[in-house]
Amino acid sequence: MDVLKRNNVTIQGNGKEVMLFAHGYGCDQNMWRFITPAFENEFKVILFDHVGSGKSDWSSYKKQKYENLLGYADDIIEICETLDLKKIILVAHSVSAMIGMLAAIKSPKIFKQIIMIGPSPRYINDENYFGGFSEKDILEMVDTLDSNYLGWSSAITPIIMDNPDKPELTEELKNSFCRHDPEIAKHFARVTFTGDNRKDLAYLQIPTLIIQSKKDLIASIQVGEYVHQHISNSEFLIIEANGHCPHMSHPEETINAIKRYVSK
Amino acid sequence: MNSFESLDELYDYAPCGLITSLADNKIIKVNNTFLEWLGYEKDEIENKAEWTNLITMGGKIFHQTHLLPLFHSEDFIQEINLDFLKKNGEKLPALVNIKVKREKDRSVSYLRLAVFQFGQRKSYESEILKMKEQAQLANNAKSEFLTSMSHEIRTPLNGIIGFADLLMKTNLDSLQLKYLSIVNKSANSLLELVNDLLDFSKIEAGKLELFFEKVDLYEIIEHATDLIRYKAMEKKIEINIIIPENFHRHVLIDPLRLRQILINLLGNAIKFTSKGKIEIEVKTENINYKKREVELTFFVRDTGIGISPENQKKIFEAFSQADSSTTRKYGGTGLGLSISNKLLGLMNSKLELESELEKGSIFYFTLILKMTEDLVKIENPNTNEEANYQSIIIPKDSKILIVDDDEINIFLAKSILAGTILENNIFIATNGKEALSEFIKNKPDIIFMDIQMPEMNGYETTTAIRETEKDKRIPIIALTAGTIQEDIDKCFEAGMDDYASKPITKDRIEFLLRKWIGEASSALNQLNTTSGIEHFNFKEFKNRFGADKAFHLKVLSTANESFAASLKELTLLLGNRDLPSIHRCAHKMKGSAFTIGCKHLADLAIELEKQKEFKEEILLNIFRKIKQEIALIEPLIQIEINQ
Repeated sequence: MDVLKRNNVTIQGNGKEVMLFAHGYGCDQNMWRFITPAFENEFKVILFDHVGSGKSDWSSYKKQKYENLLGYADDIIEICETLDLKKIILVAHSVSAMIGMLAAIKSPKIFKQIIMIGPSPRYINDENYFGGFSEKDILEMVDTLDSNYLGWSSAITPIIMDNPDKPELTEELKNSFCRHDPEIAKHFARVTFTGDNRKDLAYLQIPTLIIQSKKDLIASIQVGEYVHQHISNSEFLIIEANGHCPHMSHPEETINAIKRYVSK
Repeated sequence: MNSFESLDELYDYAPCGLITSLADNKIIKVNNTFLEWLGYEKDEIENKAEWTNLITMGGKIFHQTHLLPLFHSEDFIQEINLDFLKKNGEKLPALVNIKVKREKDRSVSYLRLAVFQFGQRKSYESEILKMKEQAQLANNAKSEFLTSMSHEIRTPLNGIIGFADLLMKTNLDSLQLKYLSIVNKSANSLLELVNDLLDFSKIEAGKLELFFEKVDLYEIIEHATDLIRYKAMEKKIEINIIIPENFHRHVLIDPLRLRQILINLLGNAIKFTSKGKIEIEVKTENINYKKREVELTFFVRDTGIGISPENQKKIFEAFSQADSSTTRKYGGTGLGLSISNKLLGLMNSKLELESELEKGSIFYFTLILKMTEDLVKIENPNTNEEANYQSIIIPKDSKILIVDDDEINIFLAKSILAGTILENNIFIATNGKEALSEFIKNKPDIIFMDIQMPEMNGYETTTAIRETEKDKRIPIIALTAGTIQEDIDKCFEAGMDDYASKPITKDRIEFLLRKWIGEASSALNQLNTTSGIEHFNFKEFKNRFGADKAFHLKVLSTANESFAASLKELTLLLGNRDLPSIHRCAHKMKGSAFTIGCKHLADLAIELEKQKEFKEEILLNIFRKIKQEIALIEPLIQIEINQ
């Protein structure tokens, strides 16, 4: 199997040291487009799409493998092994922060630093834990997904485009931003939002920076602090940003935070 | 000027909700329509509420995870379904368009939202979705029914064919022989039909896979043509094979499926042609030497009844012939063309047709195939092999175990064996469990094993037998339903040694008996199996690593350590239910075990590596065996180290 094709791995930049960017749930590697130019002079910048997202090979999606985040963590390890990467800096958004953490627990030699943006080890509230959501909220989210992905499945796209004879138009629709296979997106949502990685935090030994938006519905400050408290070798940084994607909405602040940490 | 309404009025009462918000989603302007829908007053919303707080929690998560990246990349989103919450708590399903307005420095100045009510459409849409799902389910159920029925039909049919075959070898008068050959022929065409149905449902379910092999196209075409030659002679129809002189005949293709397509097309041609000729032609369209690919078009032409333009579209659909009278007049399922077309679909091609009523038809398709080097012509291995065993005698007192859950099949097998084997030495088991106890009790010399049995199937039974075997490997012959390579491979994987496809014939069974328990071969067999299970073969190890003692010591202690480490790792991985890593670990173990000559451990590691699903019980079972084996090997290795 071609790992690089499976995960649509792209490599840019002139540096020697490797910075690997892992996108979060709901998008693909395009979400790093405002960040990566700032690092291309000094680093070798490597991007990829999780299987089922963007231009990854959707047919490689095996429900069983991706039944929990370990399947995605293995993919990251495989990418690094294929490219023979060691001592890299991993920048991981949202659910990928947990995926990256699992990869680093399993193969610590690959990683030098991890930068987590908006991480959360558990989204659903517990007796003594505030994750921000109830199970009902997550079901409602899957419903919203359902009604919005109606037109996006590869089987239906040519029909709604009303151009079954002009595949290039369909291609254009598929190529545009953040496309997913709807069935995979639903499964990924369930795996992401119902997972629980709180116990794993303590096993992470790699130096870690947690970048936290001042206001983030998906991963609140409280959650960020929890992550910080449970990863022994971690720093916690709240930046002036609003929303779950500071690397898109506030690229300057995010770039500065990353630069400060990696140059230390 | 009364006829023009003011812009303000248009804004406030537009037939859609309009909202303007800042980058942080705070609403700074909202129209009346939207306020009325939600039941709020203007001063409750403007400069107070964030629009993201007026949607459901599910919508909020969707907004943060999916819509934000879209906003920031494309500056708009369109036709997104979000449910707003009315003041009284009810939901208002809506379609939302949003456009981002930016300043020159790219900072967001506004978001503009247009909101459309979507309630009725949404319930309509979800109804349609539900119906689609139901239709899908019903279709799946139909396919499954078709598959299981076809299997069910095949069992008694095999009985008919098998006994007809046996009966034809007895002393019959010519009339009886004629009747019987009709029975045989009818049963065979029924079997073909059922196989068609099975193929069809397999393709429908996406379960049909192609198996590419290096083949000689000329042989495939010859073989397919041979099958209709007799019919053509009867009907006095000429058959021509047209192949260009420098035709590249050695390619990579699934020979079974190409043959199936050609036989189907040629079969149709002969069926619907009463005079004239049938031609099969292959044309080289293009050769790409760089990619080592050849593009070939296959034509099958006839001078038969032809197909009217309106029927030309229909005939590729399943279960439809040109018209229903065709079925009555010519027979057939009407599945052939549909299957051929779908098979071609799997090969990235499709069936095409030119036809004129009363003049004839041309079916053709184009394939792009990888070229291979010329092959040394290989004789049909089966006939060749069979000849080799002609002179070998089957010992009459051999003990034979037949495992099959179908009475007719058992009776057929017994009848075939009668005369060759003493009746008292034929043992019967009708399920896996019985097979196992019969195997232990009677120690048969060979086992014939049906695959599809309730509870424990043939694969599982074989595996179980292999586990109880101690000093000798008993040949197990699979009785398979078809000759599909995939099924046969599965038999070998499960530990079987050979196969006979149903309907079984006397010739095949006798050949298998000669091959596996014939007098000449049994001596050989014993030589091969005296060593039993190989735990640790130091001799082989020395052969591989030479005589350097210090080096032996190093390799062996490394191996011992690595086995212990792998065992520990496996314990952990099993706990984590981490199948991919278990595979990796097993792979590593297999390598080391092979290297130092621990064949049985390597076999167990292979077994572990083969598990495609995390089935705890199975995995644990293999793990336990590995643990035992390592416990057994360790002291053996230690002895060598100490020496």
